[in-house]
Amino acid sequence: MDLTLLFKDLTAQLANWIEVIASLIIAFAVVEATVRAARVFVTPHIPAEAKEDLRLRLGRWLAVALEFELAADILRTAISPTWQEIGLLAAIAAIRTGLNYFLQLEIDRAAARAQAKPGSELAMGQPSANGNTPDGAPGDKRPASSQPHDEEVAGGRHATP
Amino acid sequence: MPLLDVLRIDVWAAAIEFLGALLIAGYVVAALITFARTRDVVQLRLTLADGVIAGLNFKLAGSLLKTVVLHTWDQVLMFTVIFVLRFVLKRIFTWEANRIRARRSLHQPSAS
Repeated sequence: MDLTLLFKDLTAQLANWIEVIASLIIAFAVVEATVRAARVFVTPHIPAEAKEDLRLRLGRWLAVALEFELAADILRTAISPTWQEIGLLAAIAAIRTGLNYFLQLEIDRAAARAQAKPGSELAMGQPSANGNTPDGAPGDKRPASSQPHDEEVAGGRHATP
Repeated sequence: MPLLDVLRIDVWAAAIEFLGALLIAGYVVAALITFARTRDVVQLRLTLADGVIAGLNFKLAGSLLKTVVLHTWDQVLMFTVIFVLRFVLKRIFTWEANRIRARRSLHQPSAS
């Protein structure tokens, strides 16, 4: 019995650490979104896409954090599983999947809108789902300094089959 | 004590499940390191999804071994729920990894 208890204990610690990482990600994302929101507030004549960009960026980080939380909860199924914990895991999985789905819908819609008006820095390394938006942002993330040039290169017509 | 534990099947199941847990944790660390280097969120999520899939494989194997030591109906029910949950989660993560991968290959310029 001792060995199984040791494994359970170690698994619980791993799960705790992964949850700490998830909460750190959420904290950083919220701080970043706050800074950006403040910048949007003080900038005159800000385009409407700036707000949407901010919202999607925060949402995408939340999805990443939820993925970490889900990993921690998977670890938790191995430790003294109670009905309540299993219900929690199922609920979190459902929430996360739903959030990801609707987030993707929004990102696709925003990318389709950005197609008509290229040049808005929308994507954070995550282009739209289907191939009918050739003017979306480049597929991999580059430093912000080289962003305008890269969009012209990587967002070209040859990116879609 | 440890010599006898080697013969017990639930110890083996726990060890296999723990391997899965280690795998998930290792992939989490690897994903964070990769993200710190490349600043690529897509790669972060992809690595994370891969790690969870690999870890869930081990955990599914471990819970299959545990069927040997099920004694009461409550345990059987619990096992079924956990097994189905892990199976569904694996499906979801596999689907998501494939989706991310397909979208990224779609938008990667063919020149590079």
